[in-house]
Amino acid sequence: MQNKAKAYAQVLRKIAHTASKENEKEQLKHFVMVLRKNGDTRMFEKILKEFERLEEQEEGKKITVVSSEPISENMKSNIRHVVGKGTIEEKIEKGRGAGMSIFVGNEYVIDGTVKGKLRSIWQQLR
Amino acid sequence: MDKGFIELLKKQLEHAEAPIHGEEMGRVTSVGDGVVQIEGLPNVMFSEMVRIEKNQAVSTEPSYAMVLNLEEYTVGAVVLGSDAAIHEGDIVKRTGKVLSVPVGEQLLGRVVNPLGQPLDGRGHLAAGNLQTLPIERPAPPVIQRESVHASLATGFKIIDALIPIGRGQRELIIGDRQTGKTALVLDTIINQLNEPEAKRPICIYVAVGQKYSKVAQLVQELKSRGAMEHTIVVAAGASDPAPLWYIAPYAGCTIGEYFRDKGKDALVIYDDLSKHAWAWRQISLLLRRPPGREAYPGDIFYLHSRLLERAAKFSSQYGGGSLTALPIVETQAGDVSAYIPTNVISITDGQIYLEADLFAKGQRPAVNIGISVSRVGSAAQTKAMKKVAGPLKLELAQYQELAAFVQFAQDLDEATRKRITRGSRLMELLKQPQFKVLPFEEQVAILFAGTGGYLDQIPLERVKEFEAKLLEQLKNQHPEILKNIHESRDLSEETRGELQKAIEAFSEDFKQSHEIETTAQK
Repeated sequence: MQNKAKAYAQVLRKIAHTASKENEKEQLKHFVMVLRKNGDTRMFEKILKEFERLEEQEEGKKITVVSSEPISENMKSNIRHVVGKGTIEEKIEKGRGAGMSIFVGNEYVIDGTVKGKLRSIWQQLR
Repeated sequence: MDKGFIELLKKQLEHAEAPIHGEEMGRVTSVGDGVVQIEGLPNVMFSEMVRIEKNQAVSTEPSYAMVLNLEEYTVGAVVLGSDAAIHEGDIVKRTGKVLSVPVGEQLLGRVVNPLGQPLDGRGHLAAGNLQTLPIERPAPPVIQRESVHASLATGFKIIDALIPIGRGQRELIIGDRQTGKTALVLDTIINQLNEPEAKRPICIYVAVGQKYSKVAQLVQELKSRGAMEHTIVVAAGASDPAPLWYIAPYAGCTIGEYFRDKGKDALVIYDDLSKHAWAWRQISLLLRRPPGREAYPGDIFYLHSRLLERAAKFSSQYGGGSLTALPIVETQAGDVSAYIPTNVISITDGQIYLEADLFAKGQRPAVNIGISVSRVGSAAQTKAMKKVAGPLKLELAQYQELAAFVQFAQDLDEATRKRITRGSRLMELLKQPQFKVLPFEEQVAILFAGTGGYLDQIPLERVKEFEAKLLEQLKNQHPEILKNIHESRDLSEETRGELQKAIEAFSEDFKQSHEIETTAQK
């Protein structure tokens, strides 16, 4: 089933990247018709997930930077240099304290907050 | 704040470093019924513990979960505790460790949960020498083992004589509800007080899915009899989530293995494995693993086989320690051919079958000696016990053949009547009230009296009185006989002669004082 969802996702990705603005709607309509004809509409959520993964593979993962204040463009390019390609999304959390956390997709985190450092020291003392 | 404390803290922090580092993480995508689905954690290992960092506004305490499903993009984990405060989007981090439990002498006398957290209100476990071991450990290989030869006395005549258990054996206790399974194991723990301290096995009682009131009652009984000092209780109560029920037997086994690996003897009781199987079925179904027979997952056999295989007797080269397992399985309406009972019967080295009918008729322990067996057998018996057990088995086998004719006793020939008389008295002797365990030398003495025919002329309703008074007499007036049997673990010709004289003299006195006719009675 996973392979089937992948196959659909690849088709969907092709539509998204190659179809012109006029054809896009039509092609998506056909895509949905094919899903219905094959009885695979219940896989739609899985197909979307696979689509996201394929996009991440090509375009790079979504990088979320959480800090208490906005970050500079210079900082963003430094982050891209360390983490690799990907779209950077900023998230401001006022109560977060000093430092920032960088989430790479849902798989990796670089914790540069003061809270994170204190936690690391605590674990060394234990 | 004490300045000394601040200086100590400063010193400790001198060399502490806090470099920024990256680590793997995941996010909770769904949570329900104690199971979390996590996206991320690309390199997490099977059975690894992960830490779920909850939303600060909800709780600062992280939850722990154990990874049981590794799929292409998601990880399924069971929460070891309540999942109430876990939300979608919570961050999950690896701990890099498999689930471990604290082990050591500090656990003796304590009641803990399967994670090693104390439940008895006596504070944290004492820190010194406390180590942790993983709950899943490989079973000892063949080369480390030797055959079972030392006896594990339960204190029950019917078991020690007819279905003897050895140290390192796995003996299943199986029966319907309310047939005395827990009572039997409780008395087995208490009976270890009759062993010299150096050879006394450490007892671990694992309560799976039981009411905490029942566990509390059990602990209280053990405490009042001084048995709690050599006992550890691991409890996953009825209100605890299924993952704790699942890990409880493995945690108990690991605690027992600590003592086994140090050259000591340990006894672990799993009460009961039926509930353990239910918990694993629940977890597997929630993890969407395909159900098999009776909706149990395909690896239900492996669940118990890998647990019970860890019970072993080590050779002297590897310390000579042992871990004996007494798993309990509850049957429904006496059906021993059901799925879980047959699985566990095929794994263990014998079974003690407790029957509800026998229990109702007053035969307690309600052991059906016809279908109970110990595959270790007399290899685990003392020489003294072997000498009385042989004739006992023969008498009982002959009696059981004739049991159907008991009601026609008046119409039978003399030889048959004698057999029935002897057999019924032996069955009466094998009855034993709860908390009245006997050391093996007393069992030998009383069974010697029974198989020697000294009870044949005693009325059936007086047999227990005879037994009690005989033992009292031997303890008060002939302690050297019991001492000889205890120390030599044998019934030598000389001791046998002395015992015979003592029993004959007592028997005459008993009959006279109770005005019992010398003709044989029913």
